[in-house]
Amino acid sequence: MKRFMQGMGGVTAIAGLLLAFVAVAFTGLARAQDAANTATNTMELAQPTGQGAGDSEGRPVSVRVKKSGIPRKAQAPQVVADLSTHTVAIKADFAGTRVMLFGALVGSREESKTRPDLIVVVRGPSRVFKMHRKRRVGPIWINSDERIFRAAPGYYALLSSRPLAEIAPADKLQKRGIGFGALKAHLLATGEGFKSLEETNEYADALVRLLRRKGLYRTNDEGVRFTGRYLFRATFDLPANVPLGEYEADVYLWRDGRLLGKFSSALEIEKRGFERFVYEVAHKRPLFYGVAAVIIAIAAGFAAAAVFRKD
Amino acid sequence: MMSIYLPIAEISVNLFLLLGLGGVVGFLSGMFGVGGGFLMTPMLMMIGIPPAVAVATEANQIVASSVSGALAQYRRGNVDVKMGLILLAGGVVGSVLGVQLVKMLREIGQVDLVIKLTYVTMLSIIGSMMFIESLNAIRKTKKAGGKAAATHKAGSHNWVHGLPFRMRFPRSKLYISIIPPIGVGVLVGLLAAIMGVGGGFIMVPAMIYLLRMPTGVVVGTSLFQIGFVTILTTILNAVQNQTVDVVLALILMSSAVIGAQIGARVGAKLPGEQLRVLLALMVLAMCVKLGWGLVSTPEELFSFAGGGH
Repeated sequence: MKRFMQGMGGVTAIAGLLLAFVAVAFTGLARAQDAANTATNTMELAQPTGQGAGDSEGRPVSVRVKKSGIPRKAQAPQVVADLSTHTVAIKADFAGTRVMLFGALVGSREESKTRPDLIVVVRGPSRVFKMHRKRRVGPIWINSDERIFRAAPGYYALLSSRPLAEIAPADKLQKRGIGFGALKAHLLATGEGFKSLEETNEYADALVRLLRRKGLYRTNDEGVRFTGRYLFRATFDLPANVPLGEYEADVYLWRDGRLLGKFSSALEIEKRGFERFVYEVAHKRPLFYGVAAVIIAIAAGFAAAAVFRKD
Repeated sequence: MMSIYLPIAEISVNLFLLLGLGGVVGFLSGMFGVGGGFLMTPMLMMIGIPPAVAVATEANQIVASSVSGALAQYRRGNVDVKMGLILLAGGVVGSVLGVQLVKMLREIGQVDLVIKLTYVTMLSIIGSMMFIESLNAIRKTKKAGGKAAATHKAGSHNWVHGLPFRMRFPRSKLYISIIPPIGVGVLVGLLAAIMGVGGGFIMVPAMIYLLRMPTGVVVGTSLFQIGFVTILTTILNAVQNQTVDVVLALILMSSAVIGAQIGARVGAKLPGEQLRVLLALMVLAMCVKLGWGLVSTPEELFSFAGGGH
């Protein structure tokens, strides 16, 4: 919990919050050209890794303040967000960490309306999952059927400001690729070697169940919290066994069962320092690595024998 | 609770858990002259280390404990170097073959099952053999009135003594064919590559019951052979699979070498027959544990291939 407040994470968080405030203030104030320019700069600063890719339906998914300073839909609120950190470094003492996503609603006067709903989806890098089901052969249980899912996220966190069912109907959410319903549909589409839909379903359920147990798939109905009228934040935990790679955190803004906007932010999880050094030597110079490992072991053995040489 | 992230295994594990594991297994290794891999490898898998990494890293760790153990034994003159070299020649062949075999089994997707079945078969045969034999020996010793009636009767011959290519082993006071020791070496090399074990739990009984070597040199000579075979296995695994985790190996080593020294000291003070009963019971316990895992109805039928995360 405290880790993200330390060092760069903390600085980024504070700077980001200030920027978010600037953005909110801007919407309430005049839309003069110079102010718009400032806001544009602010956006770039708040999200240095660039806008997320649009969704598959080609919907307007990311917020970009136009040169004129007027958001696309003048009356509809939009959402901006940032993460407390954009890189998680895995070092020797890494035992999991917590990342905060914070943001603000911008673009319209909200006082008279009901508060919109927010859904945050954090996706880890996609990977191949090879699965087995055990069968009884004689007295023993063996892994018999092998089935493959070509592409499933290695990490998936689903956070929302209230239960998903209250935000939008399941089919709408699934169409937008949000939630475990959509994830499962994706699994069914990327399965390999399955004999029936029923079987695919069983394996897909098992995949989600196993990854939930490992803490890599998670849901939190109250994971997005408003801290005031316009500001919100969401926290998600990355367990120690979190896969490395590029992550994407998407914020979806809904009201009355309609998607109003989306904002994407990127997160990278990588090895650093000694951990990285060891990994790279092991993969780039394997013979050297193997010989070094043996020499270290022999040295340890000799050292121990020397230390204990009393008799 | 202090955790450490392992760069090759790619998971975070409690440091004290690893140190404790290393210490206990090292102690047993020093006491019995077994590498301890047959206890350590399944335990590493149980705490979530991917099997391939557990096997390869364990081989690396055994290098440290067997070198330190072998040195201690060598100083006491308990290593039959000539016999050790013959065993080693077989071990090199077995290790290279084993790495190929693992590659093949991976492709079929049955490497886990084969490993476990091999464990259960090996451990049950050897465990019960040792148990019965050492109980008989204890009974005999008691009848003889406490003074150990030397277990190895000079005149006792078995089929081993009828084979050709005989060689003299002065340290072991043997004149036997080199075919059985080479065969034992090949088997042990295979096991090092497939199961992540030094193979002492096969080699020690084989030396005693098959080759009829004097008990005094068995432990030292097996450690000598294990040291070299695991060096080869570590390098082969590092080059072919990149599965040797140096950080994990270092942690296990640092506590295991200390454990091994203490174990060797304690072992020297205890009577050999009782030690063998203990070892036999341990082997049988592991066997039952693994066998139960294969037979009992699993709670979860599904799993990810490779035990990965």
